[in-house]
Amino acid sequence: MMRWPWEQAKDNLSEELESHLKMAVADRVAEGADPAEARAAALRELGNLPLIADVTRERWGWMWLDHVLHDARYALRQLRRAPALTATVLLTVAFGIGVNLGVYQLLNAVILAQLPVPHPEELARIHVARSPFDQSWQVSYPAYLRLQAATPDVPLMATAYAQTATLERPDRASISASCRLVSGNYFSGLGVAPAAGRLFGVADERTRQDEWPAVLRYDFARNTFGSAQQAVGRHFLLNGRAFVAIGVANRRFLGDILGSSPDIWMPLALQSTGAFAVPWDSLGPGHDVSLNKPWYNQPTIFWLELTARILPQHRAGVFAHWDQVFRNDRELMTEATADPSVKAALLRVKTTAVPLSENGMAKRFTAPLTLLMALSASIFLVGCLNLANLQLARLHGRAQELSIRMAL
Amino acid sequence: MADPDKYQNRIELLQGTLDMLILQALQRQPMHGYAIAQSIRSRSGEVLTVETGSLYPALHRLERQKWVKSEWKLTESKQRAKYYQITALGKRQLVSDHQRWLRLVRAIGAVMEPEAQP
Repeated sequence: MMRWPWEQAKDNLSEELESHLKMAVADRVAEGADPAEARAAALRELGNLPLIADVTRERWGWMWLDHVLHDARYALRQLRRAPALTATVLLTVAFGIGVNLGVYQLLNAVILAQLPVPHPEELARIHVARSPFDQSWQVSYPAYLRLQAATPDVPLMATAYAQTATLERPDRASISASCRLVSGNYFSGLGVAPAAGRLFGVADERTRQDEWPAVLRYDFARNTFGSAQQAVGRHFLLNGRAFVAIGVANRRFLGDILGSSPDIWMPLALQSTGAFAVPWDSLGPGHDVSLNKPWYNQPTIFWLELTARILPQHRAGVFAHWDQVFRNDRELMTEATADPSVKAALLRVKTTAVPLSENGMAKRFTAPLTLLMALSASIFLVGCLNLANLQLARLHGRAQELSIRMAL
Repeated sequence: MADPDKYQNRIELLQGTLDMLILQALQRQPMHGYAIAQSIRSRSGEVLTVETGSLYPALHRLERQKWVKSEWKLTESKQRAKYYQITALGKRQLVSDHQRWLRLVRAIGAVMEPEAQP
């Protein structure tokens, strides 16, 4: 049987004391004493053996461990004697911890988490003007280029939604993939590293490509192609257009919008193919809008959302500059309405920065999730209190046994 | 109910002195606990009796401080016993304990018999 080293030492000690006793008895017998009397006398001289052993053991400095083990063993014995109670307590505590952990993870993911990129606090959604009809914070491609050219040292990224597309591979069933159009500086501006292959560069922005580059989300790449490494260089069709996967984004990067993680990122220039449905807004009927032509040179189609990485202390200066550059676009937008007060309101809009975390999802779920967290925490607390009370009640029933134990 | 303080107090009372006596007894040869007690008793002219309750805690403490080391052996009467042997560290300790003891005896002597001093 496997034994603890101090148990071994304890045996050694009792053997040592036993041998002392035997020698003392033997000496007395040699002097002519009766064996039984000799033993009694030796025992008297020796004193309280267990106590001597105890005091000696204390010299080893392990007594506390011995006590703890004894207590633990006693506690386990008690638990085994009341299986129903043990099961109740274990289940209550386990469920309580589990539920609280789960709710906390949800809370953490929805409200507290930051983008998994370096210095996420520098990133902000840039609002320069509301589109006339949808009231969404979207701008045209020429306006985006102008803003970017005005402040070349500020990474300004543009993104656009695209509707779910159909992905086809030879000899495989087609699957649907959610897509997002992003500017060439999207990944470098956010600071996302590739898990495999490479991410977009400025060269990927050119129009009319025979085979379009695509960056895949990590889990999508793994589920579709086996692994991130295997996905790189794969060819596939997306809404009938030829694509090659040039890289896979970092495992933790799920997109810059909480609650919507695109499977595939592709260049903004893909809009010109017309193969992907992109939501847009414009000035309404009577204006020169050709939806069937590419949008990159049309200043009256508003379809891009802006995200920038700017240090908070530089924001005021950069925004003032952008307001100047964007003035013509705001004036263009006023053509959508005849109401002078609406026109004036549109012209008064100033560029603002909104934290990435401040989106509809966080706003919608902060209160219910906080409530849920508080609720589950208090339920756990109440459960623990009940368990404590239960223990107290059981203790009362064992008062006599315990008083005897204490006395011993 | 037994009182552990009875033994604890005695150890504290004898601490240092008992250590010195044990180390001195082990100077000549390794011995088991019973022999150490006997040796101290006979060499002190039956004046000093070392209680078992003090001896074994002291021996185990000395061993923990590495002043003695122990080993199980058979006695002449074929009885298994734990033999203690003084270490180099223990010998050094004995020298310093002895000197301290001599200083103490001289000091107490000077206080108790001032006229004997020159």
